[in-house]
Amino acid sequence: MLKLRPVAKAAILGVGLAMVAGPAIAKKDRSHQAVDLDPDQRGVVSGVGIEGQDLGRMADQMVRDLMANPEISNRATPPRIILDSSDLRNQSSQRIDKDIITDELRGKLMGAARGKMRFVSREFIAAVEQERALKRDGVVDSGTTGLTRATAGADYKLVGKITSLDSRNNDTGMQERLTVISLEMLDLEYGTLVWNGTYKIRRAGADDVVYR
Amino acid sequence: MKTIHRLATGIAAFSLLSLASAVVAQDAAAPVDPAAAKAAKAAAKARAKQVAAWKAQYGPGPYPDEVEAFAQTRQEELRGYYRTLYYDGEHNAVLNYERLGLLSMELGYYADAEKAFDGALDRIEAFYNKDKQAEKATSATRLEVNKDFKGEPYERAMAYYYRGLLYLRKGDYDNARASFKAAEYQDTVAGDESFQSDFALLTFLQGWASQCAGDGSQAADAFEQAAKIDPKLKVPGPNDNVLVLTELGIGPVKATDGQYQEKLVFRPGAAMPENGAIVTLGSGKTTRAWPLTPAADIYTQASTRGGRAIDGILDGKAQFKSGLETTSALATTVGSTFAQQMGGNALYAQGIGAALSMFSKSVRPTADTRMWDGLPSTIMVGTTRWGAASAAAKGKKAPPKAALSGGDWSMPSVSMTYRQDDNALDLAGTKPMSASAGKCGIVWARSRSVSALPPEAPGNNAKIALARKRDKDVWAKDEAFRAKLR
Repeated sequence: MLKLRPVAKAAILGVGLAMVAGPAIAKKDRSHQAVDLDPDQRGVVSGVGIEGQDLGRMADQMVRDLMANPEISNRATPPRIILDSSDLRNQSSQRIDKDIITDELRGKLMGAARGKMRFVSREFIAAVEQERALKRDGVVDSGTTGLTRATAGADYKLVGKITSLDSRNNDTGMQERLTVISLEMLDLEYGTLVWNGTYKIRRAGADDVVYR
Repeated sequence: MKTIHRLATGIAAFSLLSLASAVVAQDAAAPVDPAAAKAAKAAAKARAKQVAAWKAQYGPGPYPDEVEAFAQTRQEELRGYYRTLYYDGEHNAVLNYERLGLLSMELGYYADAEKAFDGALDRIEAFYNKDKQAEKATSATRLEVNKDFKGEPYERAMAYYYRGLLYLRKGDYDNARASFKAAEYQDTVAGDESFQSDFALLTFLQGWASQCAGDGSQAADAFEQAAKIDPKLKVPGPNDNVLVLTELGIGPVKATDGQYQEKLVFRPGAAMPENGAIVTLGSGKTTRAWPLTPAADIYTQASTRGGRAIDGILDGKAQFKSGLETTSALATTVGSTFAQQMGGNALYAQGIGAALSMFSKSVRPTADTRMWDGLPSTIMVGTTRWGAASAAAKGKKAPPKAALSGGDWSMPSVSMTYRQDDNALDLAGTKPMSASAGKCGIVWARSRSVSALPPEAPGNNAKIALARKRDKDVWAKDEAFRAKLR
């Protein structure tokens, strides 16, 4: 039979206890911690509205669509585009920060365009004007790209709407929402629309019977 | 074998060394003063005693010191409400957020109000499927109050309504319209079709948000629809840029009815004298005053909802309880008589009767009466032109270029006179919220302040609230909620 000194026995017992109790304590702690979720997968909290995973899919589809449009993506001189939320209207029944849609789209489009399109920022034009004034006043030097007569004018602007249609079956408690994100590329000189992309989300679900 | 011996000896030696170094380190850091050591020991003992007392009173927690540490980071007038929000966790989160949101809005803490209503609405919009607490609410032996509160449709609609007003205040007309639309959607739950989407004010406010956003056709559609539901709601002038809302009286009260309080009923709130209001904008020559139009009756909205799905379950529980009571009585009286006549022992029948009686007592069909007690009884509305788009003199045509624009104008001073019929009342009401962040301005006031209400919502069952904290999953959910709050 295995013979161990008392001190060694105590040590083994201690290690053994730590191995058993450790995971239990860790498990208790884990339940209070936030978990990382894949932004492209459905989250743990859900309803019938636009959710995190929709944004990535919508942006992917829109980028593919836009890149396939030769008038925008295949010009000898890359077109200049304003892509922000200032002319994206939310007419749906969901409260939403519209920037989350345009930011996602701009990020993916910039990645895919690889210089075939130029993006003009009007959101932070004040910062641009401030720096230009400092350069021209001689407070700072002209930087490495030189001075231009004016800031970039844009050829196109992304405009669009978010609309929704809600319905409910009061007998079953089922709720359904069709959300349509419709984006268009507006020619800022002629006023014509050179591209349109639509992304639809149709989602249904019912809350627990105690809440109907 | 030798390897195991060596390993064990090594671990033992390491443990002893660690222990010894820890003791040495502790000795080095230990206070030399024995009186201080004694005081520290006494303090630790007192703390342990305090924690034990809190544990008995508050269960697993959170304990007052933690709650207080959280509340101290908030505005003083809101601390009571934040304490309740923090302590109650997810159970009453929607209700506590709604009450906190309204108080914050009234006191002018708009960032707190926005966050609070967002917190409530995020939960209202999420589906609580396979929720343990929701399942408990349907169990025969558990009360409905076990479920996390989401409120009745009129309460949910009002949460959207206040959020919409906060968006209007900031000039975010798109999200204001979305909020009013979602509020109206809550009103489609009514069982009787004639009461579905009958909250005309919400349709009117959708129109207002559209008008301010420059969506003329959407605005016209909504105003037309609102006027169809409630002809008192006249279409605002195309140049109107100030919306005035004031809320009167005390809103509906939830109560229970039926043999076992299984029926949820709504009663009008305590009667208040005010039934009208006159708003006064500006001062001196530019003063403009006019009576506001009654646009919504919250008691009507609450009481025309029709039956809830849970009512059927509560009714079933009540019938089951009633059946058990009848059977228990029969077993006790008829059964024991029969047993005696047959020469048996009546105690068996009485025992069965007592057991059934005990079981019937454990069946709990009482309806949940937690409610948002700060709601008004009536909402009054009015619109006008001010500033760059000011009204033309009577009988003269408005200047053609006076259409809505975010030009140079600011909100005038505002005062509200509350009336009973034609008589002005000595009632100050709350300080009006007055703002113009975009093309339009908004004024919002209340005749009755919510600041006099206690921080705890009515209808809560403290016993149930404490019991649910002992559930590990619920505790984890509440802890996550509190972590997000901090």
